[in-house]
Amino acid sequence: MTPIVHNRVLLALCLVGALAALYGEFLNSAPNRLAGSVALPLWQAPLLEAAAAMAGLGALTVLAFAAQVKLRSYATLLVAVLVLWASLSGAGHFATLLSSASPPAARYSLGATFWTLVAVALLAMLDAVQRMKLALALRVGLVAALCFGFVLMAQAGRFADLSLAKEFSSHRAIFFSELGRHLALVGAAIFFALCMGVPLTALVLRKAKACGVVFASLGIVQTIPSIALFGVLIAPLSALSRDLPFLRDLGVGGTGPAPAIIALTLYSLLPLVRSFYTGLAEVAEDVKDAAIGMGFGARNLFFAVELPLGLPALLSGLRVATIQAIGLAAVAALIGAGGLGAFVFQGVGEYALDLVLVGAIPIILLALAADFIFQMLIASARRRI
Amino acid sequence: MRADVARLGAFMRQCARRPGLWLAFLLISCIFAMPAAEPLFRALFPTDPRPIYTRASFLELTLAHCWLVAISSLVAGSIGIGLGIFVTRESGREFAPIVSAIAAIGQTFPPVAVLALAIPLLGYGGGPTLAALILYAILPILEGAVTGLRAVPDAARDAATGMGFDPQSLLWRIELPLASPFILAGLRNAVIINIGTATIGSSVGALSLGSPIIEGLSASNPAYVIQGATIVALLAVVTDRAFAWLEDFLRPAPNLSPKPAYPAIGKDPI
Amino acid sequence: MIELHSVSKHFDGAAAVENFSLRIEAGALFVLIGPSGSGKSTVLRMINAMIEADQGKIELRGQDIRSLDPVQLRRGVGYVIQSVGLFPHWTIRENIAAVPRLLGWSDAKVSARIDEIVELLQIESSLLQRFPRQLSGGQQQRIGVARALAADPDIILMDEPFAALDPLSRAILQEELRSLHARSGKTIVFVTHDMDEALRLATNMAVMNKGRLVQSGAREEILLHPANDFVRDFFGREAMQLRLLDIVPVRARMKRRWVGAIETIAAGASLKQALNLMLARRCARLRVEDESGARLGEIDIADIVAGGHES
Repeated sequence: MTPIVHNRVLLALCLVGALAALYGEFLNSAPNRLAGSVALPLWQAPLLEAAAAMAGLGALTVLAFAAQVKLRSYATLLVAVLVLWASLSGAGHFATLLSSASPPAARYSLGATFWTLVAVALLAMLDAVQRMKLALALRVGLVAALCFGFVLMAQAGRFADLSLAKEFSSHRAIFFSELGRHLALVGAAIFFALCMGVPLTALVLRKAKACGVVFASLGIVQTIPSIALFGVLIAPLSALSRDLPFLRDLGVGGTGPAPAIIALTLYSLLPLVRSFYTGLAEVAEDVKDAAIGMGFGARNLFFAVELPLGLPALLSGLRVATIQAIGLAAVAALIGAGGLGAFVFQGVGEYALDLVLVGAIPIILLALAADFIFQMLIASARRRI
Repeated sequence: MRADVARLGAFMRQCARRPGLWLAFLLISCIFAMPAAEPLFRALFPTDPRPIYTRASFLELTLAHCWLVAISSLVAGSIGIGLGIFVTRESGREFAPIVSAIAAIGQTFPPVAVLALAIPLLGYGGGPTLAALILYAILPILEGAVTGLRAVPDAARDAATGMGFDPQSLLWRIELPLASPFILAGLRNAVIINIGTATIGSSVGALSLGSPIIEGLSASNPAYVIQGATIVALLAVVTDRAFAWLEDFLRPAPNLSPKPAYPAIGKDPI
Repeated sequence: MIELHSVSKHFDGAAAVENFSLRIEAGALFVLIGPSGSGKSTVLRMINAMIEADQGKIELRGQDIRSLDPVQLRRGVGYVIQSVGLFPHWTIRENIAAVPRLLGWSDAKVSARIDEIVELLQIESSLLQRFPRQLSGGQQQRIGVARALAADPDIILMDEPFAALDPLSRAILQEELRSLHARSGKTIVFVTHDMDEALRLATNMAVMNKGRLVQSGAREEILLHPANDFVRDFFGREAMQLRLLDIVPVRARMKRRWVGAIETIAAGASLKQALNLMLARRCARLRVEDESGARLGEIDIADIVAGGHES
């Protein structure tokens, strides 16, 4: 009797994890920040965690053959958490052990095996959660529990000897100010985009002729590469700030946040306006007819009827615009606007890849968090209709 | 003789109506004639000793840029379409949520980070840029392929299977042609994104139209920035127009278009 | 021609078809009828191997379908579904030519066959260059039937093909199918839940309920000798006699006499149509004619009532 595989995704993930564990490097050790590194595979890591990781992978492989969905999914979640813990704790523990026996300049960075195991564990959890159709509240709870566990381990100093943590702590002060600057860039861009986008949508709805022109121009802006748009704004803005001193006092200059915010606003307009327009266009004709018949004027109609009904579409556009802006703001660091992208470019320049991660990981987490928050908002707006 | 002149006139009027052609003309003239604009840049930036980027000709830069975008789009296209086909088959259906989750998360990576992380594997220069471009382009193409293949009417698929279409004929003669507008839209998206990402590739040493921009930013030479930015922006817009034309040209029937037609809601309320 | 031996199929633990055995003779217009969910479509889709039976054996032209390549099998059997499923990106002509092209016919042969089909199904030749979305529902389904006939299969499977059409199109297509079947002698397996449609079209019927066969046999057999209350109720106890009127032709009850009736009716019309005409013209006697207009006899209301069947 050949055993039937009931969850091929899980099996595929385990295969990838096993290959990574056998052939990849768990940690990379280098004598200092600039020198080349030596690969350290999983089985050289501390026994407890390495064994736990391997056993976890084995257990997941076996679970792939289990038929009962609910039971298998719960078991997968537990084992995946074990693998996650083993990878995180193992990496930190390994680094701590190694650094106690070597000079302080030595660097231990996370290798491909580590990232693969973490990805495999998280994806296995995602797959299990989807198959057992876990309730939203429980999903949120799971994510919260994982984050909490991570924070606990970090507070306990588990990760202190990893080069990523060292890079982070050495840039700690600037990190939070750059994070703030990044959020400010995105926030300002979205705010201005809303201020311009909502009236623009109203205009396009009322005048069909404007439709073609508006969407065509916004579309053209969208295709222009971000750095090109940033670059093109520098010269005129620096000329302007030279000639109009009050702008210079406001902080508007050729480089810095001004060109970044202008460009990000322009980029955010298209997804916003398009989404809002489509949403409003779909607002039932009969609802609008009834309102007009009852005596709603144009302005009233917009604010009391169309806007609330078009809210999910507006939020959907905001979601796309925000995630896009979070990613684009990373490039803004090149023109002196700061933000998390500064770490990425600095890391590229210094060939310090951990610094790149210090910039990149928060950007990804911000984007995922924004995605999640907006999806909650959209769902609640939909429920109220 | 008069008929020829009339036909030429009609042709020219047709050309005049197409903005894409004007932009393409502008692009080509910028690529070849940028050095001729030296007096203009000298006038705008009098303090700049070398207002025209000369490390490589603009033609070289444009070709290198196009080369990067073309290769990566082709590779990403094959991977994206292949994955899309796999994920819409019976055998691959259970992989669909995971594949789209991975692709979506991949898209949230800032392009620079992907470039930077590819360096230890592939060194500086065109290698990591190509890798980043391929990874980036996969999601829009995958999305287009999956949306297109899912949009194939179930009735058509059922009828085809019942009539005796084998799986390969079904895929190549029915599903892919019907999905092609969506796939083309995804490809268009991917190429435009790649033109932007390739620009940033200069920050890791790749030769592209971003090179004058990056150099101009680090050396505070706004002339270089404008030169690079203008050409790459024109390149992006012209490519987008070309794709739009291609979509119109290939459309077998007017209402198989994936883009919602922006309806003229021109009613001014009373 | 088609034989099913104790076929069963389960979906998610529930039985869709249970211990189903049936024999469909060549040349029949065999209707599978039953309420929604009785398993008729499942049985149909097992015949062309779209669904694989869990248990039992199905034989097509004497061969066990499990031993046949499903793709080749389906190319030899016509298939028409309710939602038609025309390919939106192909013209009507290309749609009809689909299976012949799969079979590798030459262009000349395909062209000739399309001309035949256009003639046979009375399709306007201007439609051939259009795309499916430019056709009405009735026109689309007519093309669906054309497409199924294109490779000239001897068996055609039809799954509630006219259920989504407006009543007029439905009536027209039913009549055309009936005459097509009479002329071509093909075996047609037709699934429907509409008993009027079944009675209008069938030569033989099988009544299904909850995945099981309740009764099968010739149409008149089932109407006149229903096996149990379910069949009786399904065809409507009260209106049974009127339904029978719908089936019996005038020529079966007419008498060769001449008393001087004025209103005429065709010999092939049903007794129901004769009664309808009598009520409309307020006369109790009709003159019966054949297609050429020659007088064959007369029928009066006593003839219609006299032959009433025991139910």
